[in-house]
Amino acid sequence: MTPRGMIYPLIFVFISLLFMFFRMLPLDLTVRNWTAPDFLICFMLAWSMRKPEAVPSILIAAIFLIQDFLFQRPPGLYAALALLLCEWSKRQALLAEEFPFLIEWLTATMAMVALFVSYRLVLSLSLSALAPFRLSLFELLITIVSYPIIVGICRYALRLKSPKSLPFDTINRSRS
Amino acid sequence: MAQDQTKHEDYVTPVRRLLVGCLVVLLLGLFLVWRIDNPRVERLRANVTDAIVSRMDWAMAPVTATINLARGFRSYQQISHQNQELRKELKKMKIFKEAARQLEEENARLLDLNRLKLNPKLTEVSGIILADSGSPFNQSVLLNVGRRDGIQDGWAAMDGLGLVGRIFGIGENTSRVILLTDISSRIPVTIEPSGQNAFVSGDNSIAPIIDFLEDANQVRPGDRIVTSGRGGVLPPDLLLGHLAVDSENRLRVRLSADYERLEFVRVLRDYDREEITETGQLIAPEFQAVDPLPTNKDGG
Repeated sequence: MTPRGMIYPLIFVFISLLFMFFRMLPLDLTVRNWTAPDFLICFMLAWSMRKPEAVPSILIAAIFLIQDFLFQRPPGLYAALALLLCEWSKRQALLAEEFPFLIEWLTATMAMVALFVSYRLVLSLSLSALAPFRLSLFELLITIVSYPIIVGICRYALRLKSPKSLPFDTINRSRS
Repeated sequence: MAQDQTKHEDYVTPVRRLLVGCLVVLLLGLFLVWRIDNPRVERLRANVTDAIVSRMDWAMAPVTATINLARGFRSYQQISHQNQELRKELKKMKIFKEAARQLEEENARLLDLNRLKLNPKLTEVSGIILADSGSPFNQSVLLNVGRRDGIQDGWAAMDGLGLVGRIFGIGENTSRVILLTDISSRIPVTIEPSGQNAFVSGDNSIAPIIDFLEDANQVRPGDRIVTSGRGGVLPPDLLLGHLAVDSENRLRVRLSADYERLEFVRVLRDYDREEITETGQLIAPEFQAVDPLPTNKDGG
């Protein structure tokens, strides 16, 4: 990979670490009945659909495994599912003829719902402890709703445009 | 368009699928190992957390302090109101202080009569809270003391007033405290003054629930709840909080430890704990080892 091609993966790593850092700050130790959206999964899905070469699968696996370790989740399961969904959404975006934002959002929503269902299914099948259902559902919904915000940040702050929404000339120029 | 085509192939080639497949199998394998051999993977987790968090330490403390400072500014608006309340409380406290002083004198006299000494083995290590669990589903915090400071699994962590949780998972420089509010937390307690034994188990709410109470008629709201020390899990007589009843008539603990302003905790050194070294004996003790006629051995 060229040094120029390394920039986006590095930005991705940096932003994921930032998210984890802020989630781990000991600001509120009381029990909450609400939760912030899981920005990292939004971010991962947005990047894998908009700039698939910036999120190599090994990177996704590593970041989500570290997250599993830090956030006291069963290690490996969430990371494996996230990786599968990342690959799936990459292919959806690449193989589609056109990819307007609404379809992208729908794809992301499907991915997150699939993650939610399969994660809880595997955990309950393996008789592991499950997180409270209502809180998890709340997190899923608020994460889906906040997806456009993350895409907005990616688009205007990081200039990460979906290739399919650009005129053809610009694509060639940016890739040559 | 030709470049676009190669890109498509890039992402659907069998080699790529194989790589992703391998990664997924590896990750699921780790999950399976965790399910089977939990302690080993949890140790690995403690070490990984230790390596990462002790590197982020320098940034975490100032950022937390800054955010708390900003919150503090907001609360200055209510300061005069708060001041009045504090004055009222102070008046009450003075009465209590007087009562406490009298009791202290009396206690000193009684202790002297008894020639009683407080357990000198219970010394403490103070730790600063570095990070929390990062997800709303787990209630735990990470301390800046670890194996280097002689911390051991299972020790009790207190704030100024009451029990906060137990140590679970130690890295070289950090250790994790599972808070009483966590789903996996179970503490054997005694409810004073009736002396009833029970378990306090966390259920991801601010007030943990009371389980396995012997007789619910003998306790009433406001009773003190202290650790019972049964099973050698925790030292006895550490305060947890007071009994309360929720809207569905379940017994809960109003915790004494101030979880909202938790910055430091004191970890009690406790070397008398029973060590669980083997897995099988806890569940099924060896029956052969028990002598059916112990009187023979003693010589009558």
